Amino acid sequence: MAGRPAVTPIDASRDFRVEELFFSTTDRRGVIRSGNKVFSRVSGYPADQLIGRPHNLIRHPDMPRAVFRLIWDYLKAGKSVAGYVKNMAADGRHYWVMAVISPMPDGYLAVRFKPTSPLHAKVEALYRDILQAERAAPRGGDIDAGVECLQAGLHAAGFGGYDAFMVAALHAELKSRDETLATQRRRLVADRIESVGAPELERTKGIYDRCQDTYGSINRLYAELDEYARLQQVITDYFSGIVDAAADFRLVALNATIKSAHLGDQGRCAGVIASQLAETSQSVSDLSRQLNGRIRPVADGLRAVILHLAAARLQLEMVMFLLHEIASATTASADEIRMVDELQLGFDRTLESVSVSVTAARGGLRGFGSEAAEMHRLNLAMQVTQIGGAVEATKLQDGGSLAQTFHDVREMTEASKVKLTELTQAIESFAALVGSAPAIIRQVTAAAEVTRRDIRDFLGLLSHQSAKPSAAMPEPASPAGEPIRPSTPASGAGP
Amino acid sequence: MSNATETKTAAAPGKYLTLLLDNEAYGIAVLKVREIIRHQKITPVPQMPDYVKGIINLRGRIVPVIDLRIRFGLDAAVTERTCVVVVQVQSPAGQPVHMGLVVDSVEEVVHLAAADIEPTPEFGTTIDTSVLLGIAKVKGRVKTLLDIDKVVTAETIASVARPAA
Repeated sequence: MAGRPAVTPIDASRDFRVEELFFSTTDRRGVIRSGNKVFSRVSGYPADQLIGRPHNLIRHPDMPRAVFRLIWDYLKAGKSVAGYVKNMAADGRHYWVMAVISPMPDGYLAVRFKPTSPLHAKVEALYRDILQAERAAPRGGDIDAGVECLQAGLHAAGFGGYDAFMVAALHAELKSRDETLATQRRRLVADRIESVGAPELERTKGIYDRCQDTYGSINRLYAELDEYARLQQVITDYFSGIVDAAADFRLVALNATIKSAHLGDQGRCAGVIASQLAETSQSVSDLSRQLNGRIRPVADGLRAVILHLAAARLQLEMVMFLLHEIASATTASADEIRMVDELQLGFDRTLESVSVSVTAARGGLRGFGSEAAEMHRLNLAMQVTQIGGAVEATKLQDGGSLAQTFHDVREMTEASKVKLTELTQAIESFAALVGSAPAIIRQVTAAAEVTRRDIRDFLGLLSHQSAKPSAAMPEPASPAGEPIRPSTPASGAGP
Repeated sequence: MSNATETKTAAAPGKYLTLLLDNEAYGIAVLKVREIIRHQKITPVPQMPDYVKGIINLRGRIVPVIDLRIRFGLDAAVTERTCVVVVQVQSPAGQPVHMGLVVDSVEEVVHLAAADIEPTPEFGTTIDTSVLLGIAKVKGRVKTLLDIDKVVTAETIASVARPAA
């Protein structure tokens, strides 16, 4: 294999449009197997210089090693991953992408688009810090130092970890891209393929139309992502607050007991009420701990729904984008249609992950309603006890501070009631939302199956037609084959 | 002198606040406890013994805080359950002084009858027996009763505390 050509990074960026999508597939070791024309143009390498080369050909020296380590950790565990990546083109200039990488049966598929959200600048700054931490670390400890710096940076920005960050980032970037295109009155994907470059490409029109239908359904699910994210926030916030609140309840109840004890005999009755309060607050505390342990899998499951849905949408867009690219060519190439097939396979797999994560999220939600009801009951018990305590405190000569304590309990139970109602509502809307998803997913899956068959048919037809002149065979082409048509000149100046 | 021996062998029956330190249960007479507050930011005070964490402002009153873990030779450790028990002790001048004690967590207020309380054994406890009042058994669990005035030594009070009233 040829060594890596010496490319010196220069402080300038290569531009590409917001609506442009590009992808590459690699084998398990990261050796590039295919990609589209935009990838070739933006990276500045003609196709024949990309295929068969390791993906780190376009690795920018500014990229922290910790980020790649994290990405690989996900991929090796068979999970999809998203992240900001700064790449270096053949001329030394850089280009930033938001990349979504998914495991495929025998390698990986990476789809990329241009980051436009405000989060990107923050991540750029964070990457600089990480890089510095890596450079300052002793030999061998650089990646660990980088990972530590990355985690600290994400925590400081309010993310629980990389999982939470990447889902939020991907969602934010897709949203920002959609909004940017909407304000510029530009379209990401055309309604249909209007004209084809060669008669045998006529079939791309039908495939595209079916993709367009599927895209509509995916977007219906996707439109609800904001609501998913909001509900997830409400539920997570409640549970992060409840353990605290329960601890406060306990302390107030204990303080009421202590104050009653100071009052001697006349505080005996208040003391009984206070100890009852303490008992209930202990139950609240136990229940909240129990609930808190259960919320994590639900939150994780939801995050997975958001990630896979966003990835599925992007991958389908990539299929359509590639179909458009191919349709305008002057000849039909089986290799290119094979790329469509591969992308479609990636999309199918992601759809499956959406389905799995939705089922998991639904399972996790089960039982929450009854636990919320139990919490309501305990809260009510505290309110009743509190009234008794407040009445008793007024009878006491020295009961001022005790009255204050019971007043505190009242305020706490009131606040807790409001939050509990919010939670119950959130859980209900959540269950409804998650409940409506499987039907749409089944539709999308069925449509995707037909699309896949269409692509296979088309592929069979093309391979048959061009069996003699073309090197492309239906059986596995050699990795050195050229799925990218090298006809696009990689202009060093960029677009 | 005989009086001191008496208190050492038998803590008074009554209500005790039980708390945890390194998974061991201790009791403090409720009448010595003012209130329990959540762990909060403690402003450090220079040139103090290591177990004196600093001061907190409790509704306008400055209260010195000591960390019971460090006082008993354990490593400092703050968790979400950590809280501060505000106790009232005697200053060397005989004035009541409020002090905060950082503990792992508080459990409950229990009533101890004379029969529940046993004298302090001379060995087998992890901490200096001079600060103990006795041992109590509650629901099968052993709780060590602390002589809070002795836990907060006179010189500590003299150095950090101001009169409470």
